[in-house]
Amino acid sequence: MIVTKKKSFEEVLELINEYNKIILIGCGDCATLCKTGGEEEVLELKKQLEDKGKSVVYTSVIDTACDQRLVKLEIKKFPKEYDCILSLSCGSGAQAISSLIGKPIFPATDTLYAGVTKRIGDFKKMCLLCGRCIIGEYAGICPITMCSKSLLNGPCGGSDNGKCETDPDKDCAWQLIFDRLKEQKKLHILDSYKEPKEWNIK
Amino acid sequence: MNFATKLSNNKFTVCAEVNPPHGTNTLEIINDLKKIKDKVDAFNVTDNSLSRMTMSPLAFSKILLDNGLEPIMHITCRDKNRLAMQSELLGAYALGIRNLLALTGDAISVGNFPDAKAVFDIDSVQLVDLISKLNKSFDLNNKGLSSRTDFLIGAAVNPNTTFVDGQILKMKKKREHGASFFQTQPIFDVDKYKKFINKIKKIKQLQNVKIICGIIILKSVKHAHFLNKKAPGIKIPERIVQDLANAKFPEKRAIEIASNIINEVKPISQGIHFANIDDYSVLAQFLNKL
Repeated sequence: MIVTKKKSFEEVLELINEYNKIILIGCGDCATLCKTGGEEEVLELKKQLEDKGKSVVYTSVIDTACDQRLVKLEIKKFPKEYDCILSLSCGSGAQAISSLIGKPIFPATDTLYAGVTKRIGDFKKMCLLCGRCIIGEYAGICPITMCSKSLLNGPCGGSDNGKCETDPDKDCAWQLIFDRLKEQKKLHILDSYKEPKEWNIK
Repeated sequence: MNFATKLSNNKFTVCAEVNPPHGTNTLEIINDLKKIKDKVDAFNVTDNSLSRMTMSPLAFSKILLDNGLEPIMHITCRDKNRLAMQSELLGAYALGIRNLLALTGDAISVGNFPDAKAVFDIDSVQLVDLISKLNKSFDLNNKGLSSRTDFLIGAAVNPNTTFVDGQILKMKKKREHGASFFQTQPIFDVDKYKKFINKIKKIKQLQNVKIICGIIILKSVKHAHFLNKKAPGIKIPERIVQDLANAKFPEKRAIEIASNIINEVKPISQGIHFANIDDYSVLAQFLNKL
């Protein structure tokens, strides 16, 4: 799932400062699960904007905002007159809309990472969508995402007591990789030299 | 005798770390370094140490060379991608820099530009491999260079961590890919260091590897607390902190502590490396007695 975070209302207001008639578009998929762009959040933002004197002329939650087939159908329902769109989906969803219409569009969320849902509203960063997936060589644990320095050939010197030098609450990805491979009796996988990563896989 | 020759002849070496200035004037620092010039074989020029911005280590290393001081230029993976690394290294060689310390680099978040984008395009093992390629007249794509480099490649290892197996895994790869010497994080727990040395002695790929032991002369209890809290990979045992706290003259006691550590590590190391130097005059007096 693409994890998003709400921008502060002040920031959103600043973004659309010069516009009055606004369309709000949410997403029924990831942003709904993140509680950043579902029905509830769209209505909440509508109310906040109206309290500030803005006119919200249309709202909708597209089932999957990054699916342009659905976006095209939705755009047909837009009122004729409006100044800008506020997107409550991820960056992909917002651009799925912006590439189909010429009007100004602004994000009401920040897009963080591809994450795992632990509980509602509790996500864990596990994927940076970096291209060629290499977790098979690392016991299913992504060193690009989970290691603060994205190291491929072993831990840095800052790993201690299983924790990362950047945050005493953050597990050292390399300790996790090491421990799991040891348990699987596959530690030798780590012995081979890993070449620099291909970041731009087509 | 230069650093590389001394190391290859198994002579005991002394290195001292220097942070380039947070500005453009280098006179004061160079004058400081000259105080210890005769006692030090090479100066480790840090690369935005602790992710705090300072002058480029390439520029500062060149200034050291111009002043008759031999640099070991640090190069980290944090701030440059593989293109920038290669062009910087070719430039460094052309300017006369011969010794490198290839490092991962501290995390961006510990420094004074925490919003910066961390690069980490390649890691320190891949960096060692890249330098070895340049030394063989190839770039990272195995394309021939018009002329090669001939760097002495150093790398880092941290015996202080609880994850020593991880350090050894990486050390073996660094060695295999061309690192000829290792500098350790500053050592305060000598027993742990001795155990580490004994452990690597038993590893085939690490036989005859040259280890330069990191040393810090503490200044105060506050300094010790600062390092324990802020410097990744450094651990000062409570008994040393207490020892300093109980001392009538902490600075004097800190010098004794450092001397004792050096005496113990000297027989099992190929050199020492003074890190986090607060006062070069203190180090100069210390080195005169060493």
